[in-house]
Amino acid sequence: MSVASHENTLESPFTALLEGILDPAYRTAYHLTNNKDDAEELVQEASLAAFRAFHRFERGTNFKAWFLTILRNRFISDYRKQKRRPAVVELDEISDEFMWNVVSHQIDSGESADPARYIVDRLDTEQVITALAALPDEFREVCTLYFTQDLQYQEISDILDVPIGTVRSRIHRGRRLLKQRLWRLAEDHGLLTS
Amino acid sequence: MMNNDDCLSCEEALQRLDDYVDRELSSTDVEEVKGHLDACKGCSQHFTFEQRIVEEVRTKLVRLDIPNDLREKVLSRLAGESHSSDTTRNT
Repeated sequence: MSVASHENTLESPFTALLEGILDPAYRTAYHLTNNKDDAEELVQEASLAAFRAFHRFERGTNFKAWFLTILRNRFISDYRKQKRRPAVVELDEISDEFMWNVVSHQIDSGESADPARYIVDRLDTEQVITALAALPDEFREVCTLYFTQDLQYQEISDILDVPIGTVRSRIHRGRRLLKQRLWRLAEDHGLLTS
Repeated sequence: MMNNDDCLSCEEALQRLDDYVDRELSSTDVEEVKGHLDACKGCSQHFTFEQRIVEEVRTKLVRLDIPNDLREKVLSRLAGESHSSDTTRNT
């Protein structure tokens, strides 16, 4: 490869845009694939696909959303069909009021009265990732975009190619499911006594 | 619990909870919800709990380590692609 062609690639407008979104793209890829190596490969494949299709990108529009659409499509075509995900276990619904009351009683006067932080702070990042990974596919996908990117419903709707109403209901339901799983994890690890 | 003809009821406020947390409500609706939350401690706690859960989960998920060599690997693949395109054009 000539030095000139490598430099052209590194200094291209595409590369400049791509470098700005590689970290969030990797986070999305990781939560979709649940695997570090697959996530790296998915980001690389999506980068190549985006590079080839860059002439179709409308300048001035949201590059991250455009790239995540490509990444998600690569995930669907290359990864999701290969993976058999474990059966999703339905959990009994626990009300917010119940969680709030239990945690409020456990917070001693020396801690700031923030029940949400009390629950999530007691879980490490891996445990939160595990809770997200345990969601059914249709909720995990939308919650991955919702929690790891700062996107509006409309942008998520465009990326997933589903109606905005579906995105809205999946986010709301997915968030409730995630909360239940975080609560169960905290209980299972003896971090809460209910 | 509160109910007043000029304000949202608790039920009406809770119906807007998710969209409020996600900043998807119109400015008029946001003001109505805020008016209710200012006057209703129960709903205020509920809304704060929901918002804080979202913020805390986001904070945790953003801490995911990014591989140090990711940028290098991606740029290397792009450079290879660029080289292939050049070679194809020149043959």
